[in-house]
Amino acid sequence: MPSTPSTRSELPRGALELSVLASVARLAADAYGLGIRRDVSTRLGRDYAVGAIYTTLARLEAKGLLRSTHSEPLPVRGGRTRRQYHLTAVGAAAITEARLRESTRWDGLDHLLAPESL
Amino acid sequence: MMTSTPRLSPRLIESLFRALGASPAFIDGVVGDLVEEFAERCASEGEPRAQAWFRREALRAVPSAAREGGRLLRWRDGRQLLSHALLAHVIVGAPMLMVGAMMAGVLHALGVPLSMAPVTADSLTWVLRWLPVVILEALALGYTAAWVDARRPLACAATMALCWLTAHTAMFAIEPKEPLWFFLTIPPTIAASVMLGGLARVFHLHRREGGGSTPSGAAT
Repeated sequence: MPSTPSTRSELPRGALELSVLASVARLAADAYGLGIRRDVSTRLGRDYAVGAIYTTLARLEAKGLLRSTHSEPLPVRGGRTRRQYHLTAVGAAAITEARLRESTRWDGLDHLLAPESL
Repeated sequence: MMTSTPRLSPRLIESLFRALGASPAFIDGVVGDLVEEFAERCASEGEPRAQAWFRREALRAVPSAAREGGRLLRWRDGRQLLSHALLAHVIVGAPMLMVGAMMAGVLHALGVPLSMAPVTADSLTWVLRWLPVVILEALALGYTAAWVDARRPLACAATMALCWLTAHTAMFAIEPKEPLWFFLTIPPTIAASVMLGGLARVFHLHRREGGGSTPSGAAT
């Protein structure tokens, strides 16, 4: 049985945390800062600062929703390492929970938003 | 092919983030990404635009580095920052107090009246006369705070600036002796000067370590 976020503090908060979490799941092997920032910025239509993405990644990692490994120093990064992020079981469960919550948010609106009822 | 490096040294950005107390993982990630994307942008958009992008993004990352430094602060670290800020105050304040006392003695001996009256709405001359001295003292305080705390120099200067602002706000709230314009302009100017003093220390350390000369972030 997959692990679930045990406390409210472990749940991702806000659009950015959720988007970053989803982006890490989507990018899989390419889930590192640069790729995540591009993916999130494209999907949310907003140019996020590099630092904002890393602060979010650090928060998600502290909540146990992500884990990270780092590469060898790379010349293209001026001899710095690249940190690769991976979704944990708790993170996957948090995405499922968020999706479920998001879909129930719009329940009962279909007939109210139909053109004939407006 | 030409090799381009960001004009704003990545090593300097690292020093700045470290001085704010950000973790090595955060610094490596952010600066590494900036350097990597700079190389890509050099190839796709040309160097001048890539340089401008690098400067802008490095500056945009500063608040996140400060937040990251704050997130990692524990109660013990906070106490240490406060005690270091206080120590810097003593180091700078004690000699200034002695010089001030000596000057007051000389002026008194010369028969010049010394007034400790609070600043009033029409005492702009007083402010203009003493502001350079106050700013110099604030710069010295910021630099010394950053010197005392070698681990998080800029965080220590920020602590001092915050203490200044808090003390002034509290004093103004309890007994508003000074006019509002004074309260709105002078304490923020002092706080900014304290931060500038801290930044000067970080730049000084960076230069001493020869960080600026290291060609990092090569884009080929």
